[in-house]
This record gives sequence, C-alpha cells and structure tokens, in this order.
Amino acid sequence: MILDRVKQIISNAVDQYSLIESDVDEYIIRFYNGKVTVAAVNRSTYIQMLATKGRKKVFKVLTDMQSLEKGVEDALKTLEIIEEGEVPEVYPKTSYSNMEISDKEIAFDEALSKVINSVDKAYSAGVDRIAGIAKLYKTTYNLLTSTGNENEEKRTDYIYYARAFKGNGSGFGNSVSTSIKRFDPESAAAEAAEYAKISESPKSIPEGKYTVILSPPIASAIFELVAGMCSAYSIDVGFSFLKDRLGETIAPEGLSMTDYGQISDGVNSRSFDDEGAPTGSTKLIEKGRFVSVIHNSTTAKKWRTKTTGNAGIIDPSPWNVIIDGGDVDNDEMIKEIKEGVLITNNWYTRFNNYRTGEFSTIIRDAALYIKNGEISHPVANIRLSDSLPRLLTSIKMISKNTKWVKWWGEVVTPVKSPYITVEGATLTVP
Amino acid sequence: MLAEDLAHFAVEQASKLGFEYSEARVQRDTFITVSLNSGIPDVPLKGEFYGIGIRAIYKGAMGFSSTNVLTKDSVTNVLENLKRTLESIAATKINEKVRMSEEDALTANWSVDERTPFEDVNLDWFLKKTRELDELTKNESKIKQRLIRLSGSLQLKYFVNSEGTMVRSRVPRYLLTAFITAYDASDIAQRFIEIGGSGGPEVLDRIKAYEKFNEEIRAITNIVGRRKSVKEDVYDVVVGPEVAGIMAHESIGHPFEADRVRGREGAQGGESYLREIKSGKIGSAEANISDDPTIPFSYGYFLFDEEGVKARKKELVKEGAVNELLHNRETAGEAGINSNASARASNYSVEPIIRMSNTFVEPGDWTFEEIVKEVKDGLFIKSFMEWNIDDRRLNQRYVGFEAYRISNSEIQEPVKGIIIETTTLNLWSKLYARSRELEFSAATCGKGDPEQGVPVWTGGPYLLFKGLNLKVR
Repeated sequence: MILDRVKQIISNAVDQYSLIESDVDEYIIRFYNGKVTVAAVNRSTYIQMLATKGRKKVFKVLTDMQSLEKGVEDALKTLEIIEEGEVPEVYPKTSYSNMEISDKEIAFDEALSKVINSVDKAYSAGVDRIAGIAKLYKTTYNLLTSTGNENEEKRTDYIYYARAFKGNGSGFGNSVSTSIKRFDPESAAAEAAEYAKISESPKSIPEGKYTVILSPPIASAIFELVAGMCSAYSIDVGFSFLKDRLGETIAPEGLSMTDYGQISDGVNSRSFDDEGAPTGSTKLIEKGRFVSVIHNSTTAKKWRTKTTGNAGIIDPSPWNVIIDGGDVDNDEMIKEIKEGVLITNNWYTRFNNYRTGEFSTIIRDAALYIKNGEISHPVANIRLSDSLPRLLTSIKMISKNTKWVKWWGEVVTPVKSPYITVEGATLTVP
Repeated sequence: MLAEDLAHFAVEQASKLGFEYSEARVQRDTFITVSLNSGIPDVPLKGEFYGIGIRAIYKGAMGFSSTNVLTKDSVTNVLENLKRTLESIAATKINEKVRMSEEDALTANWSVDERTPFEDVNLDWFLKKTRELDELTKNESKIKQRLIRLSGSLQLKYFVNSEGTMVRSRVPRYLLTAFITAYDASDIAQRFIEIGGSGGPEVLDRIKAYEKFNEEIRAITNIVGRRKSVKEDVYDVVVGPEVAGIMAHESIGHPFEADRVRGREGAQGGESYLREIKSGKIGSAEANISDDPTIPFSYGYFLFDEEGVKARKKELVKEGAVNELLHNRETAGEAGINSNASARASNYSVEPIIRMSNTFVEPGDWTFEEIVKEVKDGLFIKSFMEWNIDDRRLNQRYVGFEAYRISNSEIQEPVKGIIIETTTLNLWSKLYARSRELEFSAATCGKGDPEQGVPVWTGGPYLLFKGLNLKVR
C-alpha cells in the first residue's frame, strides 16, 4: 500500500494528516472533420498529502512514486519553516457511504463504437463536418487520515461532446454518464447536427435588451459560476457577488440549486472531500433564497460554522450541481415569447467585476430568433453582457426537463440544468 | 535527475511493437506557490508532475500515452495498451493517417540562465517576498480585499525520438499574481495583476516585477472613485502594451495556429477566420505581429519545441498581411513545409500541440508623447479587465480598467467602463501608429482537451487606433 509508506514517515512527525491516493486510467478519442486525430491512453497514480503540526500546515501533490519518501520528507521540512496560521482540521473518525459503481472496467470497445456511430449520425444528417472528444475514466480513490478514516472508492465516468458545422452555423451536443449504458454520443451528435443545420445562415440583429431562453449548456455555465461564488473562500477573496447576502432572496421562488457530493450520473462524485470529511448535499439556493455557503474546515472556522464537505484545501468547491426543474415544457417557453432569442451555448465568460457580478460571454453555436412564439431565424455574432444578480432575478420561466452538462472550457463542474427564460438580457454586437 | 534511460527504452520498445514513429518525453515540473489572503497565509502548495509522455504512430494513426510509474514494465504496458487502442481505431472508417514534416535529427542541451538555482530557493524566500508585497497594499485604505501569490516552478525535460533527435532542457520560472479589490462609497474596482518570466528568482528584479506591482497598486487607488463616465462614440484610441498584447494574442496568435485553421480545435477553442479570409489582408500596413520564443528571460521562452525542432521567431502578420502560421510537424507535413517549432505540452501527461510563446505587436518609430499629441479628443486605455473573443477569432471585446480621457492632446481624468467591441479586420485596419517601446505581460494561455495552460508573454508598444467605435458599460 502506497499510503502506508507515507503514513510510516509522517505519523510521528505531524499532528494531523489526510492522504488521498488517486489511480486514474484515462482513454481519449479525439476527432475532427469526422476522423480521429489522436487516441490517448494515460495511467497515473498520485497522492494528495495534507499535514499539520501546531498551527502550521502543508499541502503537497506527490507524483514521483520512485522517490516518494524524499517527497514526503521535503514536505515535512516545509512544515518546520512555514508561518503559523489557521490550520485545516482533518475530519474525525466517521463512516462513508460509497455510491454503487456502474461499470467495473472502462467499456472501451463499446464506447468507440458509439463514437463512430455518432460521427455517422451527424454526416447522415447532412452537416459539413463534426469535431469532438470522448473521455473515459476508471478511478480508484484511497483515503487514509490521522483520525482513523479509511475508504476505498472505485468509479467509471464517460464524457462526450461534439460540435457539428454547416455553412456559417454550428451546433453543440454532449453526453455525461457514469455508465456505458447511459452514455449516448449518438443523441448528442444528432442534437449538434440539428442545431448546425438550423443555424446554417445566421443574420445580424440589433444590439439591445431581449428576452432570452438559455438552454442547459449556457444555463449550466451560468449556474456553475453562481455555485462557485457560494464558496466561502470566493466570497472572502472578492470572487463573488454574494458577499453579505446569505439569507437574501437572489432569484425567483421557482429557483432551487443544490450541490451533491454523490449522485447518480454525477461524474464528479466522491464520498469524501480532501480533508476526509464525508460529502453530502448542500442546498445553495432554496426557492430563490441564498441559503448556504460551502466550506472546508478552514473557512468554516473563520465563519464559525461546520464544514460542508467541499474541501478543496484552500478553496471549497461544488461537486455536482443540480437546478430543480420547473413547471413548463420547452415549447411552451418559446410560445410565451413575442420577441426574443433562444441561446443554445456560450463560451469565454469573463468578469469585469466579480463583486458586482458584471460579465460578458460569447454566444456560440445556434442562437435562434423567436417571433410571436415561433422560431424565426438564426442570429450571428452576439454576446451576452449582463450581471449575475440581475440575470438571476430576471428568470421568468424554468423548464420541467433538465440535462447534465460538462464540457471543455465552460462547464467544468458537472451541472444538471433546465432551460430558463430571462427577461431584459443585454445582447451586444461588434 | 530525470529517468532519461526510460525515454530511450520507450522509443526502442515502440519500434519493437511495430510503431512507425515514436517520441518520448520524460518531464518533471516542480512548483511552489505561496499566497497571502488579505495578509493571512493560505496553505502553501508544493508539488510535482513527473512522468513520461510517449507519442507514437501505428498504421498511420497518431497515439499518445503517458504514465508516472517510471518503470520499464509500466512503459511497456502503456505502449501495448496504446497499440491495442490504435489497432481498434485503425480498423474503422474514422481512422486518419498523419503525415509529419521531415526534420533533421539533432542533439541539443539548453537551459535558462539562473543566478540562484531553483533548488536553492527555499520557502522562506517566497514567504518574505510575498509579505513585502502585501506590505505595499495593506495600508491603502481603498484596498479592501487582496490576494497576493508568488509561484516558482522548474521544468526539466528530456526528449528523444525514433529519428535520432535528443533534446535536454531546464527552465525555471517565477510568477507574481495578485487579485485586488478596491472601493469607496461610489465605486468598486477589481484588478488581476500577473507578472512573470523565466530565470532564477532574480528575473523578477530584471523584469521590474516589484516596481510594476507597486505602480499597479498606485493606479488602482488613484482611479477608484474618480472614474468618470464617457458617452458612446467614435474616438481615437491609444492603448498600452498590455492591451496591445492581448489583442495580438487573441485576434492574431490563436487564429494563426495551423491546427485551428484545419479544424482540429473545432469542438474546443474553435476554428479560425483564416478558413474564410482568402485575400490574406488583416489590417493596415502598421499591423505587424510576431511570435518569438527566443526572447531571453521571457515567460514563454524555449529554444527547441516539444518535437525537437529548433525554435525561431515567426512573423505572423507583416504590413497588414498574413505572412506565416504557427506549425508543428503534423500541420507542416500536411502543408508540405517545415515545422516552425510551435509544439508545446504543459506537462508529461499531455500531447504536444501548436501553441504561442511570446506574441506581440512589433514596435514602431513614434514616441508615446508623439502618439498622445496626435489625439485631439480621445481615450487612453492602459490596461483591461474583462475580455473575450469568439471561436473564429473575429468578434472581440476589451473593457478598459485603467483608462483616461485625452483632451487637446493631454491625458486627463480617469474614465470608467469603456469597451472596445469590434471585429479583427476592423480593429487592425484602424491601426495608425506604434510607439518605440516594447513591453510584455505574463499570461497562462489555455488550449486543448485535456486543457493545457502554458506560460506566455503578450506585449507590444503603445498603439494609436483612429476612429474606433467605443461602447460603455
């Protein structure tokens, strides 16, 4: 056992420790113009080591298994010279409830077959080209803490996203699953192809305020930002518009958002956090009210509360975020709009000011103009320029159906989101 | 010491297994980061990424494999696994045969000069310097939140390929970052500061990191509460080197990556306007933009790329016209030319892909004073906060952070929330003059999936754009 090697060195030298070993097998199939550009097979073993002594602490990532002892001793030397400060608390002895795993091994051949079918699907739908990626993971986590906590957890995860192109249009689709059975690249590619074809010849629209429907990919990107800003560290450092707003109403009553440490098809699930605390669920927004801040033990101490099991040694972060579905169908949402835009995806969100929540993001892939309750035509070259607090309070409708989203660049934490209608969103054009 | 023998073993083993081409890169990235959050130390982060990355071609299909278990058995295992994977793919209709450019085999050792080796810089130094920087901010009454970070890293690499190339390198880097929130009753401002270079810790003195940090702090406290609004209109606009650099990086550097032009990044960072612009005309004759990894002590410094090709300066845009793209051996092979050494990988576990290094607008022959004198009524945007650009790299936005009104050819009061939101062709066609200065900012450029952040400089001189349509937040 690798962790036992570390334990032997540090158990008498430190007050507390939390050790997490991750063994990761990764397969990647990356394609563009309908052809595979690279296939990757990666295998890694690494250890996250948190140790404290008195009021001193150190955190180190160890990847050199051949010189593990040297790496650990270097971390112990650091403990001697580091400044004193707040120290994290390794979680007391507890038990963990591991989620039942879906697949024992990565189903590579079946996944490859699904990827090939997805490419076929897009071309048979008539797109010019398709690019995308499938990433397959098998991970084993081992936890060992100074408080006697031990746990082993195994899981598989499957992530696919693709963009199809047609003329000047493009469309996005994705599939996220913990099991090969529910892994569905074909439907994702079909969705991407459909949006690419609809948006083939986009037209300009004037800059102004619009009612917009945000599809799950862009709604997930927005909600991921909000969930991240519920972190106590983000609030303390200035990366959040939620400072001093705990308990306030920040969205309409229909909006509820929860972070889940473990949930079916949540591809970032784990039964324990980086301090060994069991993960659970934390309601962040309940019926429009900002009800919880997420914590590790250091931020919890500062805020005089308990950890929520979201360590992050420095910055507590959400695991898997779910926004509750609402009470309308997507079609009804479109029918309700006299003039507006259905936005299917976004990318490149940057803040002018995190405290005020002012940001802009590029609208990418299909954006469809809605007139008198019907899709009229695709639109080009728009940017959403808004603020998070204004956007949240301007949500008017929430769809019944929700979808998991996780993809490169924009939605890193898995988010399951409905479609949302937002009034008065500013769309700019260059 | 790196496990260099294992790189040779990997290439030999790949050959035995029937791979047509292979390269192996043993790479160790060691890092230290110390942070002060409003004066309180966060947990210092120490760590390393150490392993071997192997890229190999089998039946024409490109594969990549990596492991941090540095034993012969482990390397053999991942190579056999890669071969099985590529065999599965080669048997399908979505297989593509790659063509790599012919390059001369070479042997090289290169490193960055460092007065104090990375191994001799202890944590005390990081703590002391971070404290000194915090001291500069803590008594400023308008600064309410401050996160100050000092990072050091050492990148050791050993590269070999099946064609006989061997390159050994050593690059230490230092980076100072800060996130500052300042406000008074009427205004709130936030600013990222990022200053870095390659070399020993003395590189921070060489690139005037501490002076620049101090200037930034003074600028933030000076503008908060004093920033006036301006009306949306057409203005002559002077931008500082930081803004010139981000413009060059985003609207020229990225779309000139040949893999993007071919569509390889289509699902991630996107494609490129160069798929559509056949004239090759990007802007006015003043538009001269280059990428040069060989600038000493730069944050994006390298002398040989991750495919063992000797690095050189690339003149991307010359006098407003497309001159050269950024290539690796794969895109160069497709184009029937030689690679210009633009392949980089952020760590051992990822494939080398086409990247920028230090991308900048070439300096001109004006002085800054002459440029300001040229503007009767306009704006000076020295730095920016919010920015973004679309995935074809045409529709872009830069929101001024430190910005001032220019009236009667003199810099006046600070202004708030001014936005350049325009297209690439419009922007560079409005470029009228460039100053003699050439200054750089550090940044971490993101690309690829798995995401690869690589150190770069962005920069340029002071630029004068005539007749830009400005918006206001």
